[in-house]
Amino acid sequence: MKNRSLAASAAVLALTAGAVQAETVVLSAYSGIFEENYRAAVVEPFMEAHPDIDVEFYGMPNSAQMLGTLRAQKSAPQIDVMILDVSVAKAATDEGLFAPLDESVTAHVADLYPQARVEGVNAVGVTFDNLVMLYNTDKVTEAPTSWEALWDPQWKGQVSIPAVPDIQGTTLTIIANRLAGGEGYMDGMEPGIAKLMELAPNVQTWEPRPDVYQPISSGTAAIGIGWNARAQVYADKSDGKLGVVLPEEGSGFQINVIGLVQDAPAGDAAKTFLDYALSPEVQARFTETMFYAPTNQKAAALVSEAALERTAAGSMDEMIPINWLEVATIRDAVTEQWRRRIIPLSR
Amino acid sequence: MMVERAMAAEAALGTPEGPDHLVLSEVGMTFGTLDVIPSLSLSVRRGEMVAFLGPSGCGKTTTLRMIAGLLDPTRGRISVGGRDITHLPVHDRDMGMVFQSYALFPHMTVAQNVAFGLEMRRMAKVEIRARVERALAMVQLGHLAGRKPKALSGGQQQRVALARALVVEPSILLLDEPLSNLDAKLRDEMRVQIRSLQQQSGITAVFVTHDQVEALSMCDRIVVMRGGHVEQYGTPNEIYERPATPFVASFVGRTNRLSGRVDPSGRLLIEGRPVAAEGRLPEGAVEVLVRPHRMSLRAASEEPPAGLNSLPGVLTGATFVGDLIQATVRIGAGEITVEQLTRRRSGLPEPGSAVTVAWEAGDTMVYPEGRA
Amino acid sequence: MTAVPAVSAGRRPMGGQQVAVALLLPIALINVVGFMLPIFNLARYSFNRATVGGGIENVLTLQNWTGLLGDPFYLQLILNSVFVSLGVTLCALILSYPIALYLHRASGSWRTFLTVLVISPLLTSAVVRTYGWIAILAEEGPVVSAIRGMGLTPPPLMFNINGVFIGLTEILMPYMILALLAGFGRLDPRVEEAARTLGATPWQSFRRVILPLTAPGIALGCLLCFVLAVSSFITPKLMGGGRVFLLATEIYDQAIVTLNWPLASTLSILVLVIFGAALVAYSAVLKRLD
Repeated sequence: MKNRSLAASAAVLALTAGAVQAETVVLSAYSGIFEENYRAAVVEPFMEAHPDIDVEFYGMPNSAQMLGTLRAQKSAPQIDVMILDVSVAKAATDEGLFAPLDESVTAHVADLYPQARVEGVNAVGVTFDNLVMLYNTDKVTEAPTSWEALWDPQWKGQVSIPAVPDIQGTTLTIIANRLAGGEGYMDGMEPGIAKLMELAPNVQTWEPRPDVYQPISSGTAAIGIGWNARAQVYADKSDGKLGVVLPEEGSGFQINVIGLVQDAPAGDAAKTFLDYALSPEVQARFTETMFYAPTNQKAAALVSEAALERTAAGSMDEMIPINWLEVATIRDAVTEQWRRRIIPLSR
Repeated sequence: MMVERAMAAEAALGTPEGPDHLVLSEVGMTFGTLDVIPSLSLSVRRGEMVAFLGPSGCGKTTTLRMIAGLLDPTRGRISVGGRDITHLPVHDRDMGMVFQSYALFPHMTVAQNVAFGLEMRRMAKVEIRARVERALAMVQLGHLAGRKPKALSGGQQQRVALARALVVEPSILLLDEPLSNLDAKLRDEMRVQIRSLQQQSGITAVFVTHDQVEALSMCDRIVVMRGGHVEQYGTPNEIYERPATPFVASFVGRTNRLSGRVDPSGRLLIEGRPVAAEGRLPEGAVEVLVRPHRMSLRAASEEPPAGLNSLPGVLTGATFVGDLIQATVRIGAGEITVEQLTRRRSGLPEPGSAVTVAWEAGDTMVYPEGRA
Repeated sequence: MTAVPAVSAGRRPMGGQQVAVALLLPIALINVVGFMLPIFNLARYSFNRATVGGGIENVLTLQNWTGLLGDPFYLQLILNSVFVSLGVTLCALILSYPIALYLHRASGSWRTFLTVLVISPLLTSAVVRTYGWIAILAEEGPVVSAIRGMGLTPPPLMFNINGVFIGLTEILMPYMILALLAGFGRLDPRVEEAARTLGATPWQSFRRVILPLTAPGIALGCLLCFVLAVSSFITPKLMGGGRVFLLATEIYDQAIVTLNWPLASTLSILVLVIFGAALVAYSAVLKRLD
């Protein structure tokens, strides 16, 4: 009697424990300001909506480290979902580190902008970011409207440019190529390189640290380039010192993709999170929070006018189409040109 | 520079100061708030070897270092051959110094060590080689010229240090406890060797030591120092036979202390018995010092020898040390030591028996009580 | 009773050996797992092929090596690294030597205080110290203002090779001072005094006695600082303004930004080769000094 009741209560306990015990999804993405905002806008609301799923955010400073971690854990993955740069995701896909991802995983895939779906990558766009011009409002009193402002001789020694191999430098090369009247970036970058050689004497540093936003906010540099989302967040925190402008000639996208790690332990819970992250409402919410343009076409309608104006979502047509996988094939050549011809002119 | 030095040497020869070569006048040294040497004056004659003798902390090494120029005196004046060198930099002083630790240059060979001072004097290479050879021959180390110091024994290193200091023919040779790192046998040899080298070269030398045997056996005169003061300056014989203070008497040689008093009539009494002493005696309580080997011992039953001071006592013990017998005798409340050469057929009285201790009046050293 | 010592005497060497092996085993294992294996992996990567976008193709190829050694940019980069490191080492030596000598001669609590003062920068990260230098050398900073105040045109001190030089030198000085102090053991103050009494001026006694006796410390300090200079990348990254290309910064870029691990590995192995050369030079110098 006694024994049976004990066994029964143990079983009940085990059952309730099983029901209450949350499944865990490990999400890996950028640490720092991205983590701060993504937790607030996506991760925490998700856990409220899905009390049975626990999301653990594992932040890393850059995509390279994420790739390195995936490689190291290939035989026993610890990460379920990863957000990283599209070109690094390509390498990860090639090495079999990402599980296939299509409409069967989440229906939202069908609603994504075409730029968010890249052939040969087992991950889809989750944020769009674009290169913008940054300026210190004390030094640059009139908001510039054109990329040409970087070339203005009055900013000699005051321009801050993250140089290649950083992809901000690569994007600038593509923009400069267009400014100089060049054809598509795959048809030769010479006009762009020549244009940047004229910019070189203006440059204060090719390696702004800790990032490009701080020195411009503080006035160490007057003008420069950076990514829109971070620039908008820092601009809000800068007491009006940091100005951000999307120049009239348009810009280029940087794409972060989200993917499922191959053989990851979480299984369906991970897919649930992915579905949530790509949904129009959540996409819109993250745009409101951190000014990344949404990748879901249905999201734009849900974003406030004020926030929309501070992203590229309203000007998708003005973006220079960049296929980062193609760019990767010419990246070494571009880097070489920068190092041998552009940077030496700025000593 | 060479010419200057030669001129200075010439001037020194004709100096009116006569035989005094090194003169310290009211030299003082203060480290922070500590007066290591309040005021010290003394002079060393040309060609003389003088020992600075005293316990550690007496200021002897400090004085030597001030002479060498390694310490800057706080006050006073130091001169050599009449020339004021008080504030002359070390390298212009023309002194040869031998350090307790030898301080050979470990990265140089023996020959290079010896040549160093000559090179500093910009002497011609050929001349240097000849002098180094001579100097090494002088200390019997010619065969080790190519060795590094660490491959030498302590005594050999000492001789290299000596050759290195002497080869430059300095105006003064300074020796800072040069023998204290050697074993006893080597120390005896080196004592003789250093003294003979000094006498051959006729160099003025200052020798710092805490070892009375070294001071007494090697030096022309001895400065006994204590607490930064000169206690006595004199020849070894004067220091030993006529110590100026009880401190000197007990620091140089061993001595027995007895309490006594000099009555108003000038009589010295110990244990109520009259004792003869030479010279004028201080009135009142006195300390009487007699060296153990100047005393003799006999049984109380024997007649005390005429013309000698004698005191009755009780033999409390005797130690046989070969050529000597050391006997301890209680006199009144105090105890003294008597040393006697052993003779084949003479025995000591039994311990516990009454004895008489005797000594000559001239061996009685009397100091006012409390002078320490 | 008498047999016991004989037995134990016979066994002791073997027991001692076993104990030695047992004691050495953990560190040997740690070395194999923590050092040998990664190095081996690094060497292996340097013979793999990098694919576009950061992938690694597991084939055996010499292309990283031939590409690297045939490229004037990389040859220049290697020379730059070596010369900048040598220059920084020399500057650190010249600035540290008097400090170390003074410390060596100081005594008591004063010496302890100064030693703590010298070591204290090591308690702060190189990143923080480098930002300090950026503030000091910046366009509106005190140094530039002071030079302007004297009516001179200041050279660019920041975001170029000058900045890297200044920053690295200061960051390496504590290491240099400690290495020098460790090597000053043979320097007995009596030996200097002996030189002085023999007629050597302060300069002559430095040249002929102090310098030769401190040479082992100098060699050790230079080896340490050279190795640290070649491998430091934070300071060149922060202060070089992207204009100064060195092996360490290039390894960082290739490994972290471009994701070309095979090239990064090749460069890393090259750095190891340079370290090896520095060690050989060091032991040759020590041998000559002895």
